Amino acid sequence: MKPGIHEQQDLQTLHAYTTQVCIIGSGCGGATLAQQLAKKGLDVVVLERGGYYPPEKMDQNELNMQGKLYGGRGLDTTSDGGNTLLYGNNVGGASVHYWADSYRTPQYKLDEWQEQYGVRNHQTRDLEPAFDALEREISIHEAPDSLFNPLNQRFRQASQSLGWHGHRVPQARTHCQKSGHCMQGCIYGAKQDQTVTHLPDAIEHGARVFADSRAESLSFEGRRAKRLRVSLMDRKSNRPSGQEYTVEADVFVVAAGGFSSSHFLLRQGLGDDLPALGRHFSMNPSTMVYGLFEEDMRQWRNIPAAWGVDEFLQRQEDEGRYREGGYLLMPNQIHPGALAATLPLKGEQLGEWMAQFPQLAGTIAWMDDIPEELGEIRMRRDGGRQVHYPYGALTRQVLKDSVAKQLEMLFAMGARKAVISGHQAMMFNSMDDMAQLDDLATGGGGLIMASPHPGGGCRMGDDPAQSVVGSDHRVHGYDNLFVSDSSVFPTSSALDPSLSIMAFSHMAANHVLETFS
Amino acid sequence: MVRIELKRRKLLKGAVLVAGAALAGYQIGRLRSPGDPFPGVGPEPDTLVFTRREAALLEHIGRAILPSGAPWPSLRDAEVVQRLDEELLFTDDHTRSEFSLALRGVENLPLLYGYFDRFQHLALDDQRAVMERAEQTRSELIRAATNGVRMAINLVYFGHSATWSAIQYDGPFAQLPQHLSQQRTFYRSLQQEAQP
Ligand SMILES: Cc1cc2nc3c(=O)[nH]c(=O)nc-3n(C[C@H](O)[C@H](O)[C@H](O)COP(=O)(O)OP(=O)(O)OC[C@H]3O[C@@H](n4cnc5c(N)ncnc54)[C@H](O)[C@@H]3O)c2cc1C
Repeated sequence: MKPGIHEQQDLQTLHAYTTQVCIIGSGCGGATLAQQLAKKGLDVVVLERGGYYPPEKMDQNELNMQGKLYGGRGLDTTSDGGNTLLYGNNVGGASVHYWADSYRTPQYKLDEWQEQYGVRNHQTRDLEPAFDALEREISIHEAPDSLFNPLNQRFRQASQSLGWHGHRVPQARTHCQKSGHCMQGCIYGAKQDQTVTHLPDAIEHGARVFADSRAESLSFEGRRAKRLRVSLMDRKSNRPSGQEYTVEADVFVVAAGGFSSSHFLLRQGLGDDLPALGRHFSMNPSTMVYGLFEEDMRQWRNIPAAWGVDEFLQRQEDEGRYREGGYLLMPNQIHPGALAATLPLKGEQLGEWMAQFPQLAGTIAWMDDIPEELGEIRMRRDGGRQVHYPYGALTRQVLKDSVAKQLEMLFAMGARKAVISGHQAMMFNSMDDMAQLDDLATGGGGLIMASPHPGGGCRMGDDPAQSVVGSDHRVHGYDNLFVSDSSVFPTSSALDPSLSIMAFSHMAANHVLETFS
Repeated sequence: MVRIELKRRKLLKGAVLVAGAALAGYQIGRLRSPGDPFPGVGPEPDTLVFTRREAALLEHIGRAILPSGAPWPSLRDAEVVQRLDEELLFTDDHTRSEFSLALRGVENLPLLYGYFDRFQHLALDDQRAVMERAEQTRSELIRAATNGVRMAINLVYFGHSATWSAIQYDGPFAQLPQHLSQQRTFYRSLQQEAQP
C-alpha cells in the first residue's frame, strides 16, 4: 500500500499490516507525531476512526458539516447534559473545524506542571525549538486588522475603554477568504489544519493514513503491546462494517484526543494498574453571553477571534478567597443553529432575537479548570465513554465571574440587551440588572456551555499511582506504548491547546525515536 | 459532606418524582393513540428512529418553544423531526436512548406541575406554561431533559435553510450547493426502503 490516505473502499482486502510505528488518531497530536517520525525515516501508519473530508466534500452548511466532522454529530454532552462536547471524528481531527487560535503554553503552566506534577523536560527551553518550527510551518501570526469583523472591532475597543488588557490573537492561516466557516472546515485550505500541513508532509515522507479505521483492542506480551485489532468502519452507516484487520508494530502511540485517549486505555483494562487513568480531566468549560446591538455585527463572517482579553487569565484571590478571573475572554463566532441552541429564549422572544441575527453577537470565556475540581472520563458498563464533570464550588464562582465580566464587556460594546447561554432566560437591559446574577444557576445544566478543549485523563508525572505516562510520554509499566495528545497535560493548558499539543508531540517523537536507536 | 449528601438526596427525590410521573403519565397516555398532531401542515414526518408518539411529542414541544406565525416556517417546512431522526440514526445507542429518556421526561413534566395529562395532550398555552415552569427548576434532571430537547430542536430549526431569510442569514459564504454525505444519502435510501 502506497503512502497516502486510504479510505474504507481501499482497505476492504486488508487483513494484517506490519509497521514500525502505529499511531491511533490523526489530529494535532497524531499528525504532528507522524510527520516528525516519518521525516526521521520511520515507517508510520496513522489510524483514524472517521472519514476523510477534503475541500471538495465540504459545503459550508452548518448542519451538514457538523454531521461529517463532529464526533457524536455534535450531540454528545457531559453526564449532566450541561456541556456539549465538541471534537472531531475525521482525518485531521478537531483541527479541521477549529478556530486556529495558536498559543504557546503559558510559562506559569509549564512551571506548575514541573513543580507540582513532576513533569520533566517540558520547559520553555525544551519546547522553544518546537514552537519556533511550528509557528513557521503552520504560518502562525497575529491577526491583522483586516481579519477583525465588526464584533472583534467592538470587542477590542471596549476592552481598551474598560482598561482590560488584550492582544491580537496568534492564528494559523494564510490567504484567509474571511468566509467565517472555520467551524465547518475551510474549503480554501487557508486555515492551517492538519490535513493541509502535517499529514501531507508525513505522507510525503512515506507515512500512510488509514481512515475509517477504529482501533479496538491491543494485545500485550509482558510489557509490550504487540498487536492491535482494528474495525473497518462503514462510512455510510457510521457503524463497524464487520470487517477487521490487525496491525503489528514496534511502537504504538495513542493520540485519540482528550476525550478518547484515556477511554481507549481504560477499555484495554489498564485502569487496574493505573488508578489515575481517566482522572484529572479538564475541558476549559466555556460560558457564553449574547447581546443585541443597534448595528450589524455579522459575527458569522471573517475569522472567529482576532482579539483576546487576557486581563483575567489568572485567578486572583484576596487572603485565600476568590476575587476574580481565571479565564480568557474572546468574541464568539457561531452560525445560526448552534447560536439558537445556546440561547435561553423561547417562543416570541426567541423569534425577536433571531430575527435580528445580524445584530446578535456574543462573547465566550475559556475557563482554566481548577486543578482540585477536575472531571473524570469513565467507562460505562456498555464500554462507552462518560464524561463526568460536576462543577465544584470554586469552579462555580469562576464561571459566574466570567459571565459577569462578559455582561460588562457587552454593555461597554454598546449592547442594548444581553442574555446568558443557560437554562434560565434572564434578561439584562443594563448593568443595573446585574443583581439577577445572584440567582444564576451554575450547577449542572444551569449554564449551557461547549467544551472543545479536552485535556488530561492520561496525566504526565513520575508516580504511577498519580499519573499515567512518564515525562517520556510512555505509559507507566509498558515499553512501547505512548500517548501523544492533550490527555497527558496534568491540568488544563489554560489557553487554546492545539499548539501545545503539537509541541508536546515533538517531544514525544524524540522519545519514540529513542526506542529505535 | 453535608452538601454532597443533600444534593444527592435532592437528585434522588427528583428521580423518584420523575419516575412516578412517568408511571402515572404512562397510565393516562396509553389510553390515547397518537394521530397526526398537526393535520394539514404538510405530511407527517416519516421516521426511522423516533416512534410515532415521540415524533408527535417533538412537534408539540417544538410548537411550544419555537416562534410561530409569519415570517417563521412551520416545523415541518424546517424538517425538524426528520432531521433529528436522521442525526440520531448515526449516533450511538447511548445518545439515542438518552434523547428518548429526555423526551419522556418532558412528556411527563406536566404531572409534576399539577396538570393531569401528558405534555402532548395539553393545550398550547399550558404547554408553554410548563416549559416556563421548568425554566425555574433547581433539578439537574429536569434541566438536562428540557435543555437537551430544546437545544436539539433549535439547532435543526435554525440550521435549516427555510429559516434563513427570516433571520437574514446569507447561508454558506460561497453559496455552494449542498454536498450530501454518504450518511445523508444512506438515510434517504433507508427511508425509501421503509415506505410501504
Ligand atoms: C470547534 C472547535 C474550535 C477549536 N478552536 C481551537 C482554537 O482556535 N485553537 C486551539 O488551539 N484549539 C482549538 N480547538 C481545540 C483543538 O482543535 C483540539 O484541542 C486539537 O485539535 C486536538 O487535537 P488532538 O490530536 O489531541 O485530538 P483530536 O483532534 O480529537 O484527534 C484525535 C483523533 O483520533 C481519532 N480517534 C479517536 N478514537 C479513535 C480510535 N479508537 N481509533 C482510531 N481513531 C480514533 C478521532 O476520530 C480524532 O480524529 C477547537 C476545537 C473545536 C472542536
